[in-house]
Amino acid sequence: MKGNGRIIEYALSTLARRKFKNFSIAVVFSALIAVLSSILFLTHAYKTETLKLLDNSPEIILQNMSGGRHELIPTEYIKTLSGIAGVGQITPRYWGYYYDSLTSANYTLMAVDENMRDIQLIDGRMPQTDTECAVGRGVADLRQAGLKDDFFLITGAELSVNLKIVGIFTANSAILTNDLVVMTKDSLIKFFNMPADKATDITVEVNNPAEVSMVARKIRRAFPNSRPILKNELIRTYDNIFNWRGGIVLTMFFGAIAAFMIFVWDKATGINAQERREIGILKAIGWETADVLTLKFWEGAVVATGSFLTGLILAYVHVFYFNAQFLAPVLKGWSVLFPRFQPMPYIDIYQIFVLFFLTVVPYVAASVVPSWKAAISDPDAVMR
Amino acid sequence: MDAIIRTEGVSKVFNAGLADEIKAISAVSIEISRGQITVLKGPSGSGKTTLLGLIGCMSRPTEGKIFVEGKDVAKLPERFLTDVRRKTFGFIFQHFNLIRGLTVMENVMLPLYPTDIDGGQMERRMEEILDKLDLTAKRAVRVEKLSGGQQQRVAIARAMINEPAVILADEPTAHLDTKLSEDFLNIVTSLNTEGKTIVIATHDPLIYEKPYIDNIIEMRDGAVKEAALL
Amino acid sequence: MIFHTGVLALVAGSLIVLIMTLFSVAIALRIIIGWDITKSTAKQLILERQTYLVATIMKYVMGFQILSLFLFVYTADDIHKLFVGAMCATGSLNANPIGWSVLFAKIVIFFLCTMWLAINRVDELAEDYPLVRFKYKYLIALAPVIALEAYWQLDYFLGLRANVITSCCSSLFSDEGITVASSLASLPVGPSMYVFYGAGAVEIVLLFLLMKRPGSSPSLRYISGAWSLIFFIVSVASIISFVSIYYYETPVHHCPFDLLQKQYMFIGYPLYGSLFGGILFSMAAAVTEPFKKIDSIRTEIHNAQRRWTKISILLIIVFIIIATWPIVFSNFRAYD
Ligand SMILES: Nc1ncnc2c1ncn2[C@@H]1O[C@H](COP(=O)(O)OP(=O)(O)OP(=O)(O)O)[C@@H](O)[C@H]1O
Ligand SMILES: [Mg+2]
Repeated sequence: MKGNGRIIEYALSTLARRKFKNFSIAVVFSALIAVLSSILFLTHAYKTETLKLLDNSPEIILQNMSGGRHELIPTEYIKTLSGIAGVGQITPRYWGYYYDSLTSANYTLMAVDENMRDIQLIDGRMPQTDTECAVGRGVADLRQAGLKDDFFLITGAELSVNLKIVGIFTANSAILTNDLVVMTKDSLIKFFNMPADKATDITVEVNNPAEVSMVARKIRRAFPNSRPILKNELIRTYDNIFNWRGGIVLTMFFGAIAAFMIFVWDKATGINAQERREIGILKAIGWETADVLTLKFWEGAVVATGSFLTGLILAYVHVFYFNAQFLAPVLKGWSVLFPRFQPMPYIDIYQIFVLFFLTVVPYVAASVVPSWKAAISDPDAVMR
Repeated sequence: MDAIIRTEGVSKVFNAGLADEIKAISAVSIEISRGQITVLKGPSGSGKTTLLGLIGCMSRPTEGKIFVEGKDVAKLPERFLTDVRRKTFGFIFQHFNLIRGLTVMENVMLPLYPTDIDGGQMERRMEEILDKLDLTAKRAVRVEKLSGGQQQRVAIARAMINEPAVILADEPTAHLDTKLSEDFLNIVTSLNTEGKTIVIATHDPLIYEKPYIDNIIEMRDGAVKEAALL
Repeated sequence: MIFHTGVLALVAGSLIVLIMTLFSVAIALRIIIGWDITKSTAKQLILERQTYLVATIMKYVMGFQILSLFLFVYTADDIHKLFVGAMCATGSLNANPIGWSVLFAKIVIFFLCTMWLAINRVDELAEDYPLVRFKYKYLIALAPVIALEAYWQLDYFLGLRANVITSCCSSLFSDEGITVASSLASLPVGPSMYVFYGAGAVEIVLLFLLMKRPGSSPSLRYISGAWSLIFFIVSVASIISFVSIYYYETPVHHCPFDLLQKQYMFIGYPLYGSLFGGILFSMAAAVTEPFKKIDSIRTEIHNAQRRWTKISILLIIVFIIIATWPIVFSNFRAYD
């Protein structure tokens, strides 16, 4: 081992001798990285979950518009739709939102249909009669209800439904099933008081993915009042929304990063007498300014890498093994019913790279001048 | 006898231009002969340490020339000054200036860390020097656990690790009793017989009254009072 | 504006780089005005010590710049979903064409920083620091370029609109397009291979001559430096034209960025790494050539050039091997 290698070794031994001095920086640094990466990991997990869910969703969702607002759609449209070339399966969907004043949460009520076979039940089965329902785990937990328990839904119109929970489920993605209540089509129509010849929306499969936008154009021409929502557009929109969320949170963290830089600057500037003396001795016995700078670089590199890895691991464990428990209260405001889903563990190099750029680069930049100040001490200082 | 170090009209001003400007030494012209033991003698504040630092390439003089092995180092940038120092000088400081928390071995090898010397060779040199200074038994001990005399021997070992031609010592006996001072002088004379040039800054008569001192340079108020006694 | 963590990281990063550069410029001005190596005044000592600070900062700026180059490409890749028709980084860059200028500027700045460090290195080897004024003027000249790049990058991201319809790489790098990129992609594979290997052979021969006869005339050095630049451009064109399709094993996929991805075993890193390295070392040797006029650093430059030339040859050979590997060993045939 030559020059540089021995300086690295010496840097390690210096850090070991001054464990506590670097401890505070390492703790603050790791904490900052842990929080930042928890947020990024979680947002990214959300994004992936949502996009994964969209994978199974139909190419086109057709909504009816009236006065610029979403209206129920006549099921008779289906006949015309099936006449359009390239159109595959067409399915009317029945669903709606329900505000539950008991638990102050919004549920999504939906009628069973064949596509729901995708949803894996964790317990029980799908509703078969008009007095049965299946609910998402989030709903079950909120209501503190289990299988075979009763489930009341009340509306202002003095209509109330009493259902029995026959299934509690989760899906590939917990995000959309969490607040879900599934019942039969008839009981849903009755509950929402929907006209018999109308559905909430209509899904349209397209046989050839390349023809989606062409089919959408034809649909619009056939029903000028309708709004075809393309899956690709949805994906793009969700992507954008999640980027926004991540970005907003990050912007709030710029203050924290700036504060951290000042902290690093301060810590690195205020080297104690013993350390100053040591650098003086090194200079006196023949270390060059550049050698001390190299030493300082490696000290910083070890602290930064160590804290970075610690922070990442903490965030990883926090998000993927503890369901981001510490972040949940902060993020809860984001969605109506915050799903307690278990994000799939993943490692994304791009995100790690972004985190590195956001934390290690400021750290390095903040410690340049202080290290230099330490390195230029007079070699003859220790003779006095 | 050829001069390994020669100064011509060297001055050093500290805090130039400030209110506390101080001229530590002025117009010093001396010669230090190769292979001899030279003593810089003088009362406190007379500029011994300053001069020792200048000829040892620790800093640059405000004025004058300093020749080390025939090369003028007075105007060299620090980077090259360090290089000359590394190759030519070994320093023994008044306060031994060892790094606490490191072992004897680590302290001794420290000056060579940034150099390109091969690790094996560095260790061989270290073993040899420790052996000569009777420190082998203490090699893995942390320096702060050693006695004053032992610490000084470590400091000497460290000064020798780069195989310098010149060894510079600043008040080496200031913290030692008579017995240890004699020990130190024995080591120094044996180094001298191996051919090393020795320069000692001191006001300890125990040193400068020794008969084997080749040369005494007496300083007072930053100037040389009386040069070249022999 | 696209609000995205990668974008924020890039913008913050270039802000930091800009601040560090401006800081160095302030020191550089002081050095240009006050430097006098013949004096051993306290002021000169401070200036001398500040050269260490500037050198350190420039090393970091170079490091940040190369990281930011990669992060930029990754980010462009990550946000491509936001643009209709985009399938990879290329599409995102097309969504606001100034993105290409940013990419280009990042590469140029990285090269310029490296050249500065090469000059700095030989300068530090001479006791009289003969190039000190030159290198600090160079540094001051570099600052506006860095500022421009930061501005362009901001402009690029601010100008991005989600849902912009853009062309993706298969149309940009398709044979029918009219852009530079598409003309690169439509280069016939056979002839472009001849050009690539021809240029590579010339590059290696030049470097080899310089290594064997380090005393050869300065003009050979300059020719080799200029040729390295040409070879760099030829290489990038060749990666788009044919190296990519052999790695992707499809005749229409020409994207130069996808090579960095996992499904291609990150081959882009050694590929671009060896290319950049080889070109940089060869250019560093050429850039320092004029300073051989100065007595105090002639031998030092000479030695540095020999070292750099050797490294350069090695890296260029590695690059050519990586580029050639799939052509020889994959079952894919671009033409028969
Ligand atoms: N870095 C410095 N800054 C300011 N003044 C200094 C500095 N170093 C030395 N001096 C001054 O220069 C003069 C000579 O000091 P020097 O240390 O060389 O004397 P000395 O002969 O070694 O004294 P001592 O026997 O006390 O060690 C003193 O007045 C001292 O205060
Ligand atoms: Mg003294």
